[in-house]
Amino acid sequence: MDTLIQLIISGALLGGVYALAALGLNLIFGVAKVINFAHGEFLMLGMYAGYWLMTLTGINPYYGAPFIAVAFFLLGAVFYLGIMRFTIYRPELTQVFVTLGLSIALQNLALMFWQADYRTIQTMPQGMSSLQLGGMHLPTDRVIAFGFAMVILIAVIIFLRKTFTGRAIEAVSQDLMAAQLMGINPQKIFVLTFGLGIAITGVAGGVLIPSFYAFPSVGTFFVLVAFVVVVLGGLGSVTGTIVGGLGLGIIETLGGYVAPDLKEALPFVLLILLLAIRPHGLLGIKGAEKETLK
Amino acid sequence: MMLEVTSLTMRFGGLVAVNDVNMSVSRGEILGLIGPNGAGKTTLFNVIAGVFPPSAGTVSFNGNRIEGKSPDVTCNLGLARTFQIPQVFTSMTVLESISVGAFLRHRNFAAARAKATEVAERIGLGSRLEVPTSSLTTAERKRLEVARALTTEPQMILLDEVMAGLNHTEVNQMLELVSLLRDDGMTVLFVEHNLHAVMKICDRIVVLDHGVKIADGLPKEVMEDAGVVTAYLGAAVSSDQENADA
Amino acid sequence: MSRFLGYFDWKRTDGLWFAVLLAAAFALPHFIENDYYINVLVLVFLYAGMASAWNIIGGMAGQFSLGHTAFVGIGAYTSTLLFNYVGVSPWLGMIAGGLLSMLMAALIAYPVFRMRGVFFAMATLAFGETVRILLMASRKYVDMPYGLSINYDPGFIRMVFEDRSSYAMLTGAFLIIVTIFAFGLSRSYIGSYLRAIRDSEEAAVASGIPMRKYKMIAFLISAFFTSIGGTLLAQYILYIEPSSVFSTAISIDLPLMALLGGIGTIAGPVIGAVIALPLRDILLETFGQSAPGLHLVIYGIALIVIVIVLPHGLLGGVKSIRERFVSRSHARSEREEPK
Repeated sequence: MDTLIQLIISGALLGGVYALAALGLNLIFGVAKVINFAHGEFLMLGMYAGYWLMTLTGINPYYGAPFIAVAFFLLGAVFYLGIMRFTIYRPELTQVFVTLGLSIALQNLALMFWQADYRTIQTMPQGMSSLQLGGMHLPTDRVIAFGFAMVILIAVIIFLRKTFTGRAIEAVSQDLMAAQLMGINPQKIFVLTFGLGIAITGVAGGVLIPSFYAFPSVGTFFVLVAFVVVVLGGLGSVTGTIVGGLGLGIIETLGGYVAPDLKEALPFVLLILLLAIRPHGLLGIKGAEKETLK
Repeated sequence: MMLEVTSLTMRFGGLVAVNDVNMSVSRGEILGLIGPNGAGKTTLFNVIAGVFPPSAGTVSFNGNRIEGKSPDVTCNLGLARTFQIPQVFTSMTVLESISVGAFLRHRNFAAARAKATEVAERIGLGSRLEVPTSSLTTAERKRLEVARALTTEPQMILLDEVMAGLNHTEVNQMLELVSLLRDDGMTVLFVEHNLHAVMKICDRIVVLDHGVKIADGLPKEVMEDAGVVTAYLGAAVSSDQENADA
Repeated sequence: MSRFLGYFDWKRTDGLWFAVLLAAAFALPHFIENDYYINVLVLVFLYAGMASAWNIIGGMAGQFSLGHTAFVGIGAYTSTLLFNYVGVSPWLGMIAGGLLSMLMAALIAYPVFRMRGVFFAMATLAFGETVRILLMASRKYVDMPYGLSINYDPGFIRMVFEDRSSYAMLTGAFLIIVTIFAFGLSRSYIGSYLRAIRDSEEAAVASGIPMRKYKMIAFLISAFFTSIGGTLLAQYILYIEPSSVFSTAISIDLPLMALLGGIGTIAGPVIGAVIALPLRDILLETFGQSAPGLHLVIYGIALIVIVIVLPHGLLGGVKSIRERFVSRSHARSEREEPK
């Protein structure tokens, strides 16, 4: 029983991080209806950002998160203005291959600058790397990352629901035409959404680096994980992202305990099964999976 | 009876879009299905066409139960449909598009092409065969819809607001087209907004309001029916139901 | 025979194109003597064939799979395992792999065909990854080395050849067979049905097309030929491992080539392979020395630019230029007609 509780708690910790890693993907999909296949690479860049911040300046990524956020917000805006702007009303296929092309370019850029080495950092001094909680040992970095995830996810929900800009983003995501008729400039909203989505992804990478290894192709794993979270929780739903992240984290941890060899395949098998049974996710917009942008 | 709808009910969550409707169409008849916005006619049409299964009730076509059957099965049985917003095959020419329907009965290429050409000429698209569908006008797209449906060689055709978005001349051309179909002995179920058009061409009219059938009879009788008049005039005042039909 | 031919829409120029393709596949290997170019030719033929196979489901039917590496891997592994452990000739192993790939495709079709567009793409991407992970995990239970080598022992029955031009002929034949098949499909009612499904599923179903059946037909044919390509790849390189034949890179390469040339067309994937492979090679030659990965950075950026500028590939670009030209002269003649 204790093992089970321990597994569920560490699964939830992992899941919180997964949710944060997936939020940017879902936000961008929800608003611009673009599935960003380079999402994992932005996360990978975030991990490197955390790594170099710590290695070069000694600032650990938790304190450095605001810097990463600002830098990645700008990166996201450039990503939209420089590339995605040209694909936004184009066939899906164009978006798929443009983001895949970017993913190839970014992966190899990382390879070029930082080689294929596996890198990670230690943020906690000796003896503080795990927290004691009612007889359970929890890795401090995971707990902090989980805290970051929850704060950011809740902040995003509040932003979307309570602020004028947030409402405008929501409006565009629900009905672009109607939003335009209400005088919302979709270009501005798209820039903002890409900026925000990539900023969150960058921060997610930064707080992930103490507990995961960074290497150039790490994004391939995370983009699929993020996609599983999004499908599990529902496309276009931020609350769903939390549920999906926690769900996947717990299922993966439990499954990994039962069959460690299949742990890696579990998210994908889950994804295929889930899509077969409930294609719009647990909390998603019904019919979103049938969405074809033409 | 060619088409027989029995105690058909369709619910969406709490909303009852179609409530216990009985209706039938006999061979060679042209039946108009009308009603104010939100009356449930599009829903009824979609259930007959196999887009979704009804919550209760049955639909039979030539004695075969078709409710809940996929549209391709229905089409194969001889019941074809058009779309209100024309669904064109954007990468094809007009001839290729119409041929898609013809392949259902003719797998041989030349035979399918011949059938498609014949229908296209009858429908008035004969001079546009090699034009890409993407460059057709709205009226032509509506004709293309009818042509694609006709090449599947149906016994009955379901027309979903073929007059919507057409100007006066185009409406008259479409009416001519429908009377051509009548001359061919085709059975037609018409969902229509344009009352003028319906009055002119239909043998019989069924009126829905709030999901319930309120009238069924000859055009003249129906238009004089007090209930129908109230439904239409009332609908002009209260527009809160308007979106339910979408 | 003539009855059979009646199922297809033949055009006068068809024969000409086949003559060109046939000449290219069988004459080129004899004229090119430089080993480097022959190597490029083999890979171009092979990838063009696999991209054409992908194009049947991805282009014609519009279901862009990003999991075709699963079929490449199954083809490569089935024939290699059968040869190394049972002694079955790769010629038979190739067919066995193809059939196994079809079975896999049929199994995965149920869940993935419930989705459209990017969701289909993502689900198939996950499928490709899953097969690789399962294969790696299975090594715990069966005694199998990480990589498998095929003995270099030339012989026709073993499908191992001394000279590269034989490989060029082999892969050339593969390309021709796939192309003929794809061509026949596209010019028959099946091709017409697939395009209809791609353009509008609603209208396709309303025209009496049992959609799932035809998507399945396209998927199975595509899986079969892709898998054959996998066997040929293994026989050419003589060494396979999970990360080489089950790799997302292959899954991306095939659609990419189709897209570069002109997705959904017969010549598109071939043209795409002719561009993409040498382009990558030239980039590697030019930039490979200066920094690892630089050539792929440039390749990725080139891809973005090409896809944005030519969304319908080279053929699409040519077509739109021609159409602009034609429509201009058309407009002129229409103005002269009295209305």
